[in-house]
Amino acid sequence: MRARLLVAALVAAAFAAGPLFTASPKAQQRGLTRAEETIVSRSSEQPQPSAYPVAMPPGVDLEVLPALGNVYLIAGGKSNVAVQVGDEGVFVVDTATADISEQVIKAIRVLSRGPINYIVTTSFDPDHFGGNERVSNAGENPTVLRPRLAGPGAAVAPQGGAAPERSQGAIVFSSENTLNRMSAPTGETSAVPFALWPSNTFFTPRKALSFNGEPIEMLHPAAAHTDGDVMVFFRRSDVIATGDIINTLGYPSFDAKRGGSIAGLLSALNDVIEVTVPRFNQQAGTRVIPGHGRILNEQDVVEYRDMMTIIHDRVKLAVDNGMTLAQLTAQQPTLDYDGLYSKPGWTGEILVEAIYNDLKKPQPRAP
Amino acid sequence: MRTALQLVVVMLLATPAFAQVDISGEWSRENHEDQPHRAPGAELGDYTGMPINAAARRKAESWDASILSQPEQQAKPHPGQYSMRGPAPNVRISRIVDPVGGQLVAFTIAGTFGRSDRTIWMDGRPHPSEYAEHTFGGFSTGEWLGKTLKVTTTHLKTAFINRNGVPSSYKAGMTEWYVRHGNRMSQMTWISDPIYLEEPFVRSNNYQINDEQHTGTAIPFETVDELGDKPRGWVPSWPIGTTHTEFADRFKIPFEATRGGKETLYPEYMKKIQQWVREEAEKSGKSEKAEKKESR
Repeated sequence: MRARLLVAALVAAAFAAGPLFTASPKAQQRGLTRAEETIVSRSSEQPQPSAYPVAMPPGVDLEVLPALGNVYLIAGGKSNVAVQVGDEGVFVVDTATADISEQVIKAIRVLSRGPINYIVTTSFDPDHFGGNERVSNAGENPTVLRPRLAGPGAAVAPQGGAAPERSQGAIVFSSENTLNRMSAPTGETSAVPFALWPSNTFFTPRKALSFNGEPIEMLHPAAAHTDGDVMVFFRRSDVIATGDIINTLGYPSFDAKRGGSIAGLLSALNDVIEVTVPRFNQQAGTRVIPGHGRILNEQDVVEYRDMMTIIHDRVKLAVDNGMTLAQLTAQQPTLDYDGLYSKPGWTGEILVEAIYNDLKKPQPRAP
Repeated sequence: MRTALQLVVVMLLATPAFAQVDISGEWSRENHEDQPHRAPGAELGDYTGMPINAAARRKAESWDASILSQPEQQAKPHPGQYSMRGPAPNVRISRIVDPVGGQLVAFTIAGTFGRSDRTIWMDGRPHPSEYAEHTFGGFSTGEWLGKTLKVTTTHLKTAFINRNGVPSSYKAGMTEWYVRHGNRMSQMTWISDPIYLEEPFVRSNNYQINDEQHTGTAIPFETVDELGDKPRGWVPSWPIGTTHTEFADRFKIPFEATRGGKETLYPEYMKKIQQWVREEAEKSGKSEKAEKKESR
């Protein structure tokens, strides 16, 4: 009898102690043991969820890193793809290029079996919207009733309001200016095939919706990288995807021909800093997914903003003092940052020239 | 016979020691090295003995200490590239063991300024992806070289290696060696930075065990608007061409000798400094004579 009681007590103790030795299901999914999970959760001052990638099936060369909350970064393509997942479905920010769309879709399917309902195109850059057609077609328009739910042979009852522009596939949002640059007046050839165009656009500074139980803000800064930029802020997950407002692999670019400006770019960087909040002592907190490069927190954005502001101020001082571009260039105004950010096609010298020309333009008078 | 069998079983089950040394405990720093560089901190324009390149020199010269009044800069902790240096990095090093097998999984270091606490993973895991975030403490893994703990750190943030604007980039890598000698421990830091350094920057620190120390770690800094009159996005900096000569003037060192660079690390550089000093003395001697002549 005693032996039986002892065995029963041991079994009960083992069950009770089980959770002490077993990582939580979410941690197990990320391959963490209980000991590792303990450290990761205790390292609350600078947790690094992106240090533990989500395992991908064979054939997917992309990397999927948890950013924070329900938002993930799919990296390894020509631009970053941000994905929010939840009970309702999948929200995608940028689709990179068409050649990796199948991999992007497979990666999304590892994170969620739910429908891809929304896509946001952050700017008129082919490496950000090239996968729109394929990723959208792999999804569903959440505003259209699903015929299969009504049973075999049943017709879907029509609802009020205009029919959506694209009834099949996920909704693709962008700013109106981005659509304007992709499309063309009737009879003229558009810059981009119709299948890649956004289906829904907006021109206001902010558009918001709630999806997967979290408020999502689409922020449209004026005249920054281009005149059609959109940043997406996932408020509960505490992640902002900035598109090419931030590119950790190079200097941020602005294209005056496409409506961009240095003043708008700096303003957009300050916008990002205003919505980010570190957990404490400039560590962790809001995460930032840039258009290219690694995941950031506020401190990294501050460094990036400071760098751009300092370069801007050096160029402005030269312009104010009547220096020529050649005189300014001879000073090497980006010497301290070129090692990190100067890249072929958008070198420090090209950046300085772009800022110089932008500042030499007649500035609009204040009303 | 039975005892011998038990002994064999115990020996088979025992975890091999691999010459590991326990470096956990409460450690107080010893300030006998480089005191002025620890507190109050290196002076503006003092790049002596630092293998910095022209890009780093430019960045340091344009660094304006007023930038620390930015709300976003006020609460920065010291980065891994600097945090073991000071000021006052009394630290608690803890062992984290697997609750099931009892094996060492990691060491943690807490107590550095602003709590950029560190975890040194001892289980051989790989470093994160290039797309993973960087932290002030970085991502560290450790291995035993005999009784020395070698720590390799990547994923550091862009920060500094001295508190006078001498920069360190997010591409910097850091290697450390921890050697315990009884109640004392030496720690050596070796920083390689392809962006700002011509050669690795090496620095050492020493600690002594202090059982009565209790490292306080709850330090959330509060940020405030210190200046109140600055526009959004205010970023102070010194313009191109600024040089900080105060350090050279104060300590009567030839200005060129304060500029850093790999050459300044080696003993031969002393001859160059002596030559400059002689030339300076001759110059000032000649000018004194000329002044006297003129006054006559």
